[in-house]
Amino acid sequence: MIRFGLSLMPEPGFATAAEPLFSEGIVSAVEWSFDMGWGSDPTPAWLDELLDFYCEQGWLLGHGVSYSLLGAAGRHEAWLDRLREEVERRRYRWITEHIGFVGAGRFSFSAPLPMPVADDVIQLGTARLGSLAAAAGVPVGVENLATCLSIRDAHDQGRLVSELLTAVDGIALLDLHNLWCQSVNTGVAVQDLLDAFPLDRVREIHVAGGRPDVGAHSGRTLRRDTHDALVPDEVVYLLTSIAPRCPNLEVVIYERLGTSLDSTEAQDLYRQDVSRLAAVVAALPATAPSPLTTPQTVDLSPIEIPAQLQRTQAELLEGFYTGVDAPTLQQRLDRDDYPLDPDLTAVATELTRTWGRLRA
Amino acid sequence: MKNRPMTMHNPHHPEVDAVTHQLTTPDRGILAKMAAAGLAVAAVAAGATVALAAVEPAAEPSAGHSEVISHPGTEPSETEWPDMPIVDAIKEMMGIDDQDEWSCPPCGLG
Repeated sequence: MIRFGLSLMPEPGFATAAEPLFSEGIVSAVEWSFDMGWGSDPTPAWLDELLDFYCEQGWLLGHGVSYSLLGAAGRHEAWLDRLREEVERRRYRWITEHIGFVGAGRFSFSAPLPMPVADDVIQLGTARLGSLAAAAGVPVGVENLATCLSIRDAHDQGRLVSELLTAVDGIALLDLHNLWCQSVNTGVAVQDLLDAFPLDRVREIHVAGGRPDVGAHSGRTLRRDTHDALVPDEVVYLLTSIAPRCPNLEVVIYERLGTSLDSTEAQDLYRQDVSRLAAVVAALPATAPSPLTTPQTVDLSPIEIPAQLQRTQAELLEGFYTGVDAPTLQQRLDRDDYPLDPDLTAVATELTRTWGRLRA
Repeated sequence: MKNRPMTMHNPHHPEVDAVTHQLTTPDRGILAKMAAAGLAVAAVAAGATVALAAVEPAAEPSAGHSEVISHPGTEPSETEWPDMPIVDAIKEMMGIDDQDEWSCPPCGLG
């Protein structure tokens, strides 16, 4: 049986919307972005108890947001210290992170941004994933991004996921809305994007909704991963067609921002959509996943930060933030493996201006 | 916790009728707190003077906590500067105290 679950959100709107779904018993796993709960504000009591409940069942999944797996700069050790405390409190079935970097240069945080398949990126990402595995003590993995900056970027992501996971025998988290976003935004068929993706490593799938957008330069249709709408039929189709190709698939998680569930109508539609997806998942062919493995040996030698990568990431965030156009920013990057599409660069600018935070 | 096999019917997807599921149901106490969370916020929004403690334990955070929490792994639907507790969490983890450093960067936004 492939399980179906929800990404937990702390907002009351989510609690109201999701409570009947839990009551009906169709939520057999939950995912929690645990670093959302590391602030001084306490998590709601119901959320803590749900986490404990699913932890006891062995179906609590951890999903980090701010580790910066491919980040050259950052407070990775502090983050890992918090993770050690987190996993001491609750045991997660596995822990995943986004395959990108957040923060660089004068920015301590940003939306996750992609990196190319390159020796320095693979070397750094492998080391960071190893550190994550050692701190977590449970299987770890990575999720494909929605954001891409070029066709090459989207095309190479599957290979990058594969390269990074090999070293830790890790888990691939395949986000189908992210995949569809990349396909729409680059014009590359989903099938081609999946060519190098390690489907045999996929144990978890994400489904979510988003919004259409218009390219700032070309006027072409873009897709944004906003998590504030119903799951589109295209993603349901991808689920039914791709899941059977994932022999180790264990669970499908439905993601929705709690802030978007602030009306009775939105909550009703959410419940209907979740029920629809739960039924679709229930109809998927059963899988026989291989046993989960936690890497026994992880190379924890000091991580060497590639200087060029550090400069590239800082230059990118600075360029996006200040609205530098794609050709100019391309010239500033001293590497030729990071092409920039003008429309997607404009999207990255919007994301960086929204989520970027300055370093102290 | 109750695990029980059950048949699910979905009128939109009749093809999955009669599929057997293993249902997972959290304890009623948790579900009651979830339901109460929304009621408590609705009561505050309506300006009611009800004793919220009656419907929710004291451990429940204030309504202010629940105003806006977004997921930075996703893209916001609006470009306004977000009130983002996860940023506060990261700031706290990093030991950053200077509020000015976390105000809107010099770009004219916000």
